[in-house]
Amino acid sequence: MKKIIFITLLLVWLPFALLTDVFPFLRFGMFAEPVILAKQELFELYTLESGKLRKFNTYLWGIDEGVFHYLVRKYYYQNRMNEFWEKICITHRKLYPDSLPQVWELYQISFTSGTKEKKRIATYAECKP
Amino acid sequence: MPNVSLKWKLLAAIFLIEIWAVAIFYGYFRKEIMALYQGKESVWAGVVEILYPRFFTEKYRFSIDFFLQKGEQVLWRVVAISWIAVGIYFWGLKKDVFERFWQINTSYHRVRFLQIFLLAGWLYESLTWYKSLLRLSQASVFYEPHLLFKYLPFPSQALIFWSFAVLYAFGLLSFLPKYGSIFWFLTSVQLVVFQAFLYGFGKLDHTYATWTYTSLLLGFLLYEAEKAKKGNWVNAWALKLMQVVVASVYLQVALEKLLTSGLRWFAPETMQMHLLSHPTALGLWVAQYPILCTSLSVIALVWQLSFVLILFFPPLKIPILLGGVLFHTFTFILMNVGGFPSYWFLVYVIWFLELKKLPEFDLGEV
Repeated sequence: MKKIIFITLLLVWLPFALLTDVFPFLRFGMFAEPVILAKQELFELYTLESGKLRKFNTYLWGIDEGVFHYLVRKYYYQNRMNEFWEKICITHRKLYPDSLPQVWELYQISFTSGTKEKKRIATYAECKP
Repeated sequence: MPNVSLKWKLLAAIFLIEIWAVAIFYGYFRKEIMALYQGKESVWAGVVEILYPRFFTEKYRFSIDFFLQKGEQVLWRVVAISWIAVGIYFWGLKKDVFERFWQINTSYHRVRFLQIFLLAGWLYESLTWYKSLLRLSQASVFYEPHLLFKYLPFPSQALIFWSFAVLYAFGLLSFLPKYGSIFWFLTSVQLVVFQAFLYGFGKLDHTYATWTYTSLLLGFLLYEAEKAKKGNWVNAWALKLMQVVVASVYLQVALEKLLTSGLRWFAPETMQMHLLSHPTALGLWVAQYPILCTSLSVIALVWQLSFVLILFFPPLKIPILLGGVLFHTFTFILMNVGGFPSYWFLVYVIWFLELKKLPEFDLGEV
């Protein structure tokens, strides 16, 4: 019993000490950073069809908004946007081979000093097979 | 050579190791962090990739000072926790408080109630998870798991189906009067694996954190219940451990804010920014009033810090838990975070299952 208690508490406190998740033991650092450091941002994907810009629902690929924001941020800041685009094409072509939009536009929405700013960060042409 | 007890040798060893750790950090690791930040080669790149994979994303968002402070925080947190743990250990030994603290009990039926309660939550969530995993299997090119899950591919749709069938079978078998605890362990491990697949796309969800910890520990309580006969007391040290773990989580949440942001966390901009980036009608209204934002921040942090008192002052149970229900409900109303009812407050049921009368248990058992 004492060993189990010791190991459990060690595992629960380890992510706190190491400032990282040790799955399934988690660090609870959400909302902990001051806003000066924590730049809040979202990403939205749009398709351009017949001259009209429409927000694309990434849930159609099985990816909800929260996961999509994280994925874009990761690929964007790691300068891996071409790879990101290839993966989007693979996924979209696999699921909707008959509806491939001509142009995709990716927007970054950032919140700084209480104001919202939206800017286009990438434009992609149609997915090629 | 003087005859030094093991206790003092242990203290001396911890002290010396930590002096070395501090010297190595300031003399060596700070330079390595700077090298990694500047994109230079470092033998520690692989270790950082495993322990802190977000470094390679976040380094484009934050300055080098942010990461150096993180490194220092890890060092000083480890030092602080180790000395607090040593202090508690020796104080507990001297005053005999450990034995009294962990000696609580419950009844067989209350253990079964907790099992049904936790399992009902998982069964309800599993319906969503099943659909989510099927959906995510369509976008498996984005699957980039960490740690041990790196060696497992994302499951196929057929495998997902059979895994859930096995999960439900294990869940049922966990009610066996004998060996049921083993099937519960298998059930809870499987639930952890499902979460690992769901979170393998980068975003980690804290929704089920305390529910998961409690479920993992329930196996030990079931094991104790199997040893006791129906109608008899059950040694509920595992129930106490669940309470300690949940209280630890709230303490960590509060300390993270204080250690990471300090008093700056109470500035109205912090709450305003979170409210604006998770917009709801009421949240946007609150964001207009700086005094309201600061007040909410102060109340939330004071409540989180004081949660741990529930372990030592039982009369505080109701106000603290009620505060928790309000906290999680308002987090949902103001920021649409966490859902309602939140698993974070549903898990408080563990504070209503212990029985007062205390038979003596042998702590050396198990």
